[in-house]
Amino acid sequence: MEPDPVKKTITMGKMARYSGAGNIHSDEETARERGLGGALAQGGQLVGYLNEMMLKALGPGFLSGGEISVTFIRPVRPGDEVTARATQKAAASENGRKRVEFEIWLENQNGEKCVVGTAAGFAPP
Amino acid sequence: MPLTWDEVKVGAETGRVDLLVTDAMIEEYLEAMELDLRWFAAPSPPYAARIAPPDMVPKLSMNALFQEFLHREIGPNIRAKQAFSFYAPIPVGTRVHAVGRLVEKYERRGRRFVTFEALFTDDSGKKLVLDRRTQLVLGQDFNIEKK
Repeated sequence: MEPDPVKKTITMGKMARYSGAGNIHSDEETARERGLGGALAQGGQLVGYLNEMMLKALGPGFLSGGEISVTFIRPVRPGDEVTARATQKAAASENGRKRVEFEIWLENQNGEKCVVGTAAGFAPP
Repeated sequence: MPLTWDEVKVGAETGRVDLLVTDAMIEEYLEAMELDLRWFAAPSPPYAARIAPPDMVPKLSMNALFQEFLHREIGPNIRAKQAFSFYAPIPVGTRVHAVGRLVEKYERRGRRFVTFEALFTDDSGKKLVLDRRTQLVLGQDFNIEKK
């Protein structure tokens, strides 16, 4: 199975709503002072988009028994358009249920991977 | 006064949280994330109650569990890695408990990293979600272009 991609447009407003005001995720100057080159989306926000993709694919099989593990390799900034994607890499039977594992990533509008990792859960019956 | 790197102790407790999951928390999270899935909007099979998005409770707890400790004891940081294990859905009205711990510290290519964990449980001790995150410590000379 291949989860459907999830697409999001990143804006400063969405970053501030998720992370609050006056920090590296919502204030350009604060982020520049820390050597970050400007505001960047919080990691949790980006993992949330990958979780959304897995939830749409697996539903309760991700809510109970789901796992996700990612590394942040490239910043995501206001104006970026990101897409969560996955490809299945394994499947196995576990207590009568089908457990599936995926390679997952979040890429930007240039096709550059920003977040990479793996996810797993139980396929719908 | 922040700790020196040698004073950062693996195993240290970094924070605690007790949180009652409410409808308002879920509403705010769904809007912020543009998330529209039926289990989070209202009670929907196979669940008898409305449930929270699985990463909502960790998101709402991160300051108390990790970030206040980080800013007080270590300094500015950004997330380098994140892992979740979702054991069970979290219905509205659940009181959730967790203790944050620093479980690993290491240096790689001249950068310093600290890893934290927190296991969220309900009043009965039932496991709900495990949050494991690694933060890159931003030193004075940090420049993301050289990351």
